[in-house]
Amino acid sequence: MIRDILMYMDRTFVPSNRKTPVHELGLNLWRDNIIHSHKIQTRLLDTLLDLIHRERTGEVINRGLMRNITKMLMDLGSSVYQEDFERPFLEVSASFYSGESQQFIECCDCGDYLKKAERRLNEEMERVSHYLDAKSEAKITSVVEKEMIANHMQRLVHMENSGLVNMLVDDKYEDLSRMYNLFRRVPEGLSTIRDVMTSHLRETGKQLVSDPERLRDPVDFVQRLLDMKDKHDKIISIAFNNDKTFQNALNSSFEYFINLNNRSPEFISLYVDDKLRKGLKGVTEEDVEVVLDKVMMLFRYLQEKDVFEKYYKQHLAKRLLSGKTVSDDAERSMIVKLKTECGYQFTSKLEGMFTDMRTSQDTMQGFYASQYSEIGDGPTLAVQVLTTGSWPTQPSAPCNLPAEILGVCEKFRAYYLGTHTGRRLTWQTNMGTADIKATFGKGQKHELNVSTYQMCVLMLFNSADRLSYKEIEQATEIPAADLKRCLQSLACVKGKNVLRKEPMSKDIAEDDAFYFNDKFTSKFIKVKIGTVVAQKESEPEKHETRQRVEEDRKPQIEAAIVRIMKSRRVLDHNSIVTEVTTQLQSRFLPNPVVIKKRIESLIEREFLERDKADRKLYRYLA
Amino acid sequence: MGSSMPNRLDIFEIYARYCDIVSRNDHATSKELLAVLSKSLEYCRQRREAIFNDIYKLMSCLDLSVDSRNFNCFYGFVFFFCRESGQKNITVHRAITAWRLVLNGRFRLLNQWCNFVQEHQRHNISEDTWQQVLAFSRCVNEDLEGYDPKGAWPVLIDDFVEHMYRCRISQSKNCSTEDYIFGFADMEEQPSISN
Repeated sequence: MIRDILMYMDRTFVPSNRKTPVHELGLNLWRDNIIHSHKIQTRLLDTLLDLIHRERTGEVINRGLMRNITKMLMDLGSSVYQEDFERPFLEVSASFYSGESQQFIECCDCGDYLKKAERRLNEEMERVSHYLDAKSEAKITSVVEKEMIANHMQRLVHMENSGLVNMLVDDKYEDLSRMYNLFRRVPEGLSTIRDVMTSHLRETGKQLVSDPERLRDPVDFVQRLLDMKDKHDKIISIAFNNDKTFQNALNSSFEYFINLNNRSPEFISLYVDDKLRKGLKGVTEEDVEVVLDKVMMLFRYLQEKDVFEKYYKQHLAKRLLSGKTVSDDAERSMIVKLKTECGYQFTSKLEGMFTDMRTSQDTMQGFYASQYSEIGDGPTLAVQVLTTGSWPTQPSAPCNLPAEILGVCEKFRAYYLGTHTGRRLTWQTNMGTADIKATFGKGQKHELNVSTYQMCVLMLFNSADRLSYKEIEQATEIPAADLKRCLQSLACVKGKNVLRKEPMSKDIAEDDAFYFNDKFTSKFIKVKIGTVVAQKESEPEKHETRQRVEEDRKPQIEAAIVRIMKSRRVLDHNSIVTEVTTQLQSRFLPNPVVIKKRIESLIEREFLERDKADRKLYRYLA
Repeated sequence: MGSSMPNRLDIFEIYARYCDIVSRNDHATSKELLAVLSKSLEYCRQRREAIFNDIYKLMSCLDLSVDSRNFNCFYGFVFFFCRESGQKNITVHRAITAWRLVLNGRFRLLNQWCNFVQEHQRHNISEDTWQQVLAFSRCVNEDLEGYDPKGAWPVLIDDFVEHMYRCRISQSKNCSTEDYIFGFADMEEQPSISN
């Protein structure tokens, strides 16, 4: 109203004389005389803060009044709002929340605390939207964040029985996601969670891979690893917003502990072996893919991929030769995956094995087509012709085959060499199987599915009822270790003991005697007699494989060094080591000492020389 | 050039030729010339035990303490001279004898080094290792200070250093100072040269 009366003055006099306009002058006077007057200033502030405090403790207050007052302060200028209300408000809030959080943290577990903190945070945001200036939101939330979260972060995360580790163990997705969302607001918050998660993962992983109990069952070992991976993948996707940095932390932890156990490559291959032998029966194709993909994920963590390749080759060979693989498609799919992961070189031999299997089938068909008339009733022979380089080489210890078999074998040899000149055939009797028909005491007939060695032993009993260990050994010339294993499976396994041993005992001794077991019975017509095989490698075998791997690595490392030096001509020692490591990383992690030895050997063979002036530099010669 | 006795070069003559060849910059030709020189050494091979006498004779006539480049040449020559014709490496036994002779007073850890090699090295000593031992002897003192694990040393030297560290630890544990005493005795023999 005053402005209306003095409108003319306001329009003409004020601008020309540079005086304060009437409206502003009024506000200034109001500010200076009322708001900033001694008595009112403190009382107003106290009342406001008191009201807010009351609301925080649960009372209902007059929000309209509050809104009007803060609006008035804003109208007087944002500096008035800030000086006369906001700053003290923030200070009081800080001390309020620091007290409250202290109290909470003493009596609540981590999950409850986070719930309370979240509620407080929401309340404050609501308060801002109801009766404070919008600019205050960032400030007040940062106060709450600092007091309630940042200051107690470590304590919360490590809280006993309810901290982060427990949440992870118990799959508390809600709590975890709450923690993620709250901690994300404060600096270092996520890295705190990540660090704790990483160390937890490493710790449990390390326990898992170094637990001797676990090492007994490789399939279970790998399954546990996969379960652990699944569990944490799920946590990251549900609670941690699929955060990339968390995924990386997970991956690096797995990489860390899987490689702590140098049997991991072997076990992963055994796991695949188990799945492809029996685990995938009656499972849909998609599920097969899922399982294989998961295995590939673990495979990616391996540093010693070449060791995996070695074992995989061995296991694949056994599967193919014994016809145990469940699905050719699954086998192929696995190889394709390995190929995309590691390149053509890695799988060329594996593929060669498949090709051999196929050509062998054709060869056998051709053989029987040509020999049809002559063979008649004799035993049916199925030969798999294997290319020497592609298959894992086994020291072949030929045994004496029964005369019946030997005849067919010779015919096959003649046929094969007739069509393929310039090749050499050796019989790998240690890998074959045989189906034989046997008649027992009461005239019941059984078909026995046995290994070639076992067949050789059983055929001896066609002409004798009792044979001593020595006699069997002489007649068959099967290597002692294999023979013992094979006799054990024929005489010592309950329900499958087609032979009887004297004296009865679990182990085979040199002076044992064996009898044809007339009383053998079985519910089934077909009886499969498994060999007592050492599934997992024994210590000396492991050692041998390890040595072979080390030998195989030498030329690879040398080749890498030469490749690098050929393009660089001159390079210092440490750069070579780094480059070789990066080049070979996809297959294995070369040991720097081994690289050094290879370099020395190359110097000796005059591929490289040391620079005369700087002894750390190498030059490529030739 | 040894015309009076064409088949019998004495060590001074061989050394002079060796230095001449090595000082050329052309790598390929100097290698060929060295091979030829090596062939002409055939006669010595009859009396191999005497080579160390020869080396000692040569060493006492040369002024090796002044110029390190001279010594480099001489050190390389010793390897060349000890090598059987057609072979690239020399045996451990011969290498140790040679080290004890030529590095005496120049390598503070000579005794420990030779004992270590005697015990742990099965293969022959390559030229690279031989050369690097000289570089190693120059850059470390008896505390192994100055050794850089990333310094591209041959594996044998790395192993030696590790062995020394282990000795230190067990030494400080059970106070057997045998190695130390050896080390000091060695240094006191010829302190003037080692510095």
